[in-house]
Amino acid sequence: MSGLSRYVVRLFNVKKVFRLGRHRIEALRGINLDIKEGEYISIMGPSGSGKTTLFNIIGALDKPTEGQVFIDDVDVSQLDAYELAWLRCHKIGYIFQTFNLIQVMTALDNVTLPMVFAGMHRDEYMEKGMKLLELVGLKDRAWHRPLELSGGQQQRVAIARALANDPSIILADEPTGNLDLKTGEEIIALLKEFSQERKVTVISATHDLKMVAVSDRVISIRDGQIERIEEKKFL
Amino acid sequence: MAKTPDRSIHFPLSQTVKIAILSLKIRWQRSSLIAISLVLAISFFAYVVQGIGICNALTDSSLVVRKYCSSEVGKGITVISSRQVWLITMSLLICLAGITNAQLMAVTERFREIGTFKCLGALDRFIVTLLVVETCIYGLIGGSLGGFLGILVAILALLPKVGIWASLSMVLSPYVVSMTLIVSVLVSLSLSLLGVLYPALLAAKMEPSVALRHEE
Repeated sequence: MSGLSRYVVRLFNVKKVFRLGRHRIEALRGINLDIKEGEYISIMGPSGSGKTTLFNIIGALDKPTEGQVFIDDVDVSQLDAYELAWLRCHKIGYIFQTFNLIQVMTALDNVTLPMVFAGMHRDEYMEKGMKLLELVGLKDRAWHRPLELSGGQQQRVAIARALANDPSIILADEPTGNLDLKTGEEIIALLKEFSQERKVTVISATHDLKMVAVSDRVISIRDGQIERIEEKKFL
Repeated sequence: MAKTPDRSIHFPLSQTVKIAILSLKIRWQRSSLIAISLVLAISFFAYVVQGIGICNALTDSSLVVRKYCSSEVGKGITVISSRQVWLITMSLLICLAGITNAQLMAVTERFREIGTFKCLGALDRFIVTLLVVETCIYGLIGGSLGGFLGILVAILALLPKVGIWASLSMVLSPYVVSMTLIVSVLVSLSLSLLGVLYPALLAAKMEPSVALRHEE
């Protein structure tokens, strides 16, 4: 057990099949993967290779058709809806290409939302929310709505939100996909910094070579299978 | 190997109400359309209900309204015709279909937002509660405004038949007016809740991965 606890994510022969009418699409065809605590992982692959499906399965947003997924030694397939919600709230922080901030809420409200779900007291979550916004350099924008922020600022809010409940994993789906070069680099640096300082495992689906450059491992996916895994020293 | 995490997911109702009000404000155009359709349907309903109250008052000599009109007034007034029942039923059903359609569209537009809430730890019941709270706000606004409008029209329609004093006595009759208002708000709330039931369950049961894939 002690050996296994070094891994935050373990996938055993994970398969995912989608049925679209008469068609049967095998999005994942037997993925085996172990991800260690504090690793910075990039998942690469062409469009339709199964990146997003893998991202969703690691993030407990979707269940595999076959196989097992363990997050912090918890078998995700055995969890009920309540436990899945708990897992998403406490263990995983999500960052999306389209930021996915709640448009009607301020930056601070967006950041504190996961803490409200986690049952924190108001004073506690407001203080932590402000600290997180300060950490991503947006303290002075706390009361602004997402539409009043630039793309880079929105992604920073999303990063602060992802860190709200001190998760062990941050899942980032093309986090620099909608950002310009410079802002993308800033976001990558921010994620790397948090990964090193807080020992957070960052798993990112990406096409961005700059993201790959800072990764400990790069996992290439093709046709629903792992094509190759490259260690940092060989990149 | 498998561990079960502690069960602790909370979301205070006050926060849900806050998000619901903000959502209604930001989507005020759609909110107004739903509220207007409710106001119109409920005003017709209230008009008829108020009419029944007035008819009862006119045929009940113990009521104060009899002091202001001749004994001839009220004769020939039927309490409620089957045609009116049919019209009320149809108007409420059409309103229900309209609300369901509008809510379904509103929920479809918000699939990604719902998916995001679920990623952050929202349970299905939070999504249902949020949509129900939003709908209750529509229901209360539509029911009260529609109720007032219906009562006003009923009293104005009564004016040429019974004269100003009898009409005013109806306005001042708190029992008839308050009962019409209460029934109007209750019908409005029921209509709204029936209308949101299917869209809310659809949204709540949706897998987060499916909701997040949805284009805004």
